[in-house]
Amino acid sequence: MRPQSHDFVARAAAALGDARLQTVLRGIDARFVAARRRALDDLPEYEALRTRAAGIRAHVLDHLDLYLERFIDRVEAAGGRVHLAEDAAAARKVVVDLCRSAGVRTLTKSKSMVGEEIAINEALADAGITAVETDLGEYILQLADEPPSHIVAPAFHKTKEEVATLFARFHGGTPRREEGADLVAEARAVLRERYFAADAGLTGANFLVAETGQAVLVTNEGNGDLCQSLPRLHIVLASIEKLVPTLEDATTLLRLLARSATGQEITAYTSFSLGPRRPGDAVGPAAFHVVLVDNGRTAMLADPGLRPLLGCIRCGACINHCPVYAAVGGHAFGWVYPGPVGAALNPALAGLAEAHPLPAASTLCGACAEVCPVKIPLPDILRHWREKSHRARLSPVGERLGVRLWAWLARHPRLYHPGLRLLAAGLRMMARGGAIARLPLLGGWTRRRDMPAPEPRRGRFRERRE
Amino acid sequence: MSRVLARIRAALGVRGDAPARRRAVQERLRRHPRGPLPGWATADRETLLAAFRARLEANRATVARVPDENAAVAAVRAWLTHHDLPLEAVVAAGLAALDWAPLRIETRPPGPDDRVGIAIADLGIAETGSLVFFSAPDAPITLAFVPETHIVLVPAGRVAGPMEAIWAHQRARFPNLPPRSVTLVSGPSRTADIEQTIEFGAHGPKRLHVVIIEAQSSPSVARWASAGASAERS
Repeated sequence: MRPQSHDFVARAAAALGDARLQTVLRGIDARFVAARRRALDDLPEYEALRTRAAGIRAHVLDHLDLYLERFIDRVEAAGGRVHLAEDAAAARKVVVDLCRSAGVRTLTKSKSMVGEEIAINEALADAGITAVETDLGEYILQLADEPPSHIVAPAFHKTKEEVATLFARFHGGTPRREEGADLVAEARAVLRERYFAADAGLTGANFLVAETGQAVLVTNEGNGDLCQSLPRLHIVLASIEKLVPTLEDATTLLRLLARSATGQEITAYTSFSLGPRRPGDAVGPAAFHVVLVDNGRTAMLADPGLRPLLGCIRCGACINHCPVYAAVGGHAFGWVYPGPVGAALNPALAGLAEAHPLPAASTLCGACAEVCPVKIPLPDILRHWREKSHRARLSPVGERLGVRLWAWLARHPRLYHPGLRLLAAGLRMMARGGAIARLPLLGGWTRRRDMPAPEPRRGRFRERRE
Repeated sequence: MSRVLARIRAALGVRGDAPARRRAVQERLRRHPRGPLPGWATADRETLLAAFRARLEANRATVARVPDENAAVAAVRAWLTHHDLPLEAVVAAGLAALDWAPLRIETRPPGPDDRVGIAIADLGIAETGSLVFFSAPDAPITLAFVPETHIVLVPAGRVAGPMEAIWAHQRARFPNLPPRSVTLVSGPSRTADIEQTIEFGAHGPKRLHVVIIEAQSSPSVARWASAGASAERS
């Protein structure tokens, strides 16, 4: 997927005008926000778990080299192989080569955000290998030829009617079905044949346990387990920061993951996979490979401002609680990861020149950091990128001049305070009924809402000075 | 050393051989300390069993509690008949010795046409309402995913409180090499990918029926009883 983050402003404007998308986005609260709240209300240990989880992630990142060595050792002791890939191209080559040398023609795939990041489906298609997405949301998007708009619910933006139309078009010969249950049953029947016919299964991993070499995968559909138990080759595709030290550490993170993501205590399926089938086993892959991708992670590890972001467990809570995401949806963000985590990650992974509009598109309200189960200081990271954008002259000229003017004023209090009073008085003159309907130079801001008029002179400005 | 590993060390500003770092890692792996546990997870047996059942039902499984294996077989047959399901099942090898007739059983990995799979859980976890399966030659994990109806027998003595019991069990029973797959099943397969409405049977089972067996003495259950006790003690 080619990043489109540079075009955020235009994409966001289009999303705001998309009535169908706006209806869909209003569902976030009921589906995710309320469900998470209920789950956490039932877990008095939440804050203690969260502190513990943040500690686990910091510890593993500080010792990532040693845990990685241990993980490789354990996987190989179980008869598997671990491949380390420096960038997206190297990772694609490893996966394609593994498939080619095993004579793979079709592959079933369970949802993998790293797979989206490195565009693995395109690489497999170029190699003549048919990759079939099996997560229902990803399957719908594969038919629609669209990228995901949410990391947990990738087809969040699709309506039932759109799914019905896609299925009627691609599942040749079946009558059009309209009911959700019938559509799920239809996809089940189609994909069932794919699982049994596939030569290889490709899955992501939620965690990699250094202690034992086990790769942890959570799903609600069970598609990941069919992908990893039926075909003769199983490839786990994950990024290097998925490591956790021990099974107990994985358990602590699992207690937070589903609750933060969908408000479930646990997903329907949680599996810990290690190596190929054992002597006597009747099922399971004959070969087991883990492909671990760097693709910009080590650069983040080296930057103290960005390192905490590698602690992310991809629950999506920050996305679900973000007012910007709620207004424009996932596609406006223009790349694999939307919402606050995307605004923080995409500049590191796709480049600041590409993604600089994302960290700028935030009110820094802090909701993301408040709900993050591993306490990632997302607003700080957005500010970090804003500073870099400013220094690299990537932010708009008007914004840079404005900031410079303000900085100059702020260093000259004799001008700053009278200047502010003058500005406040001017704004009050423009106000009608306490609100300003249109601001010169800031039309983009006032087009969709009023600017509140500043309080009178004896109010806030004066108090602050004293 | 691989280039990725070298880049990680450069990023962290460390060398691989610093003894203090190695010790910190070795120590954590050796002690594998627990995080905070849900408070009730150390409750008494009957409370745990009640919680196990309640969480399974919250996960949309159906649950029966029976005194012994023969009653379990009868309960499974009755449940299948009641749900208008075929009296044909693929079962885990450990269950083949029971007298299932008139239910016809086969012990093999399930194929796409098999509609009912019957397995024994190695553990039950009350904290999350989960059934735990360690893959083995006589217990193909596909039993939990391929048939549209998944029936699981679980001896009451195998029900533990928190998820950490799984790891105590795994370390005791497989000290050198964990099984190829350790799977927690917490309800039937589900999806909310079409307009955020939950539908069951997305790819895996549409129904999950759990039969809790009280007796510890019956032969098929005995094989698991000792391991269950060790998981509980830890």
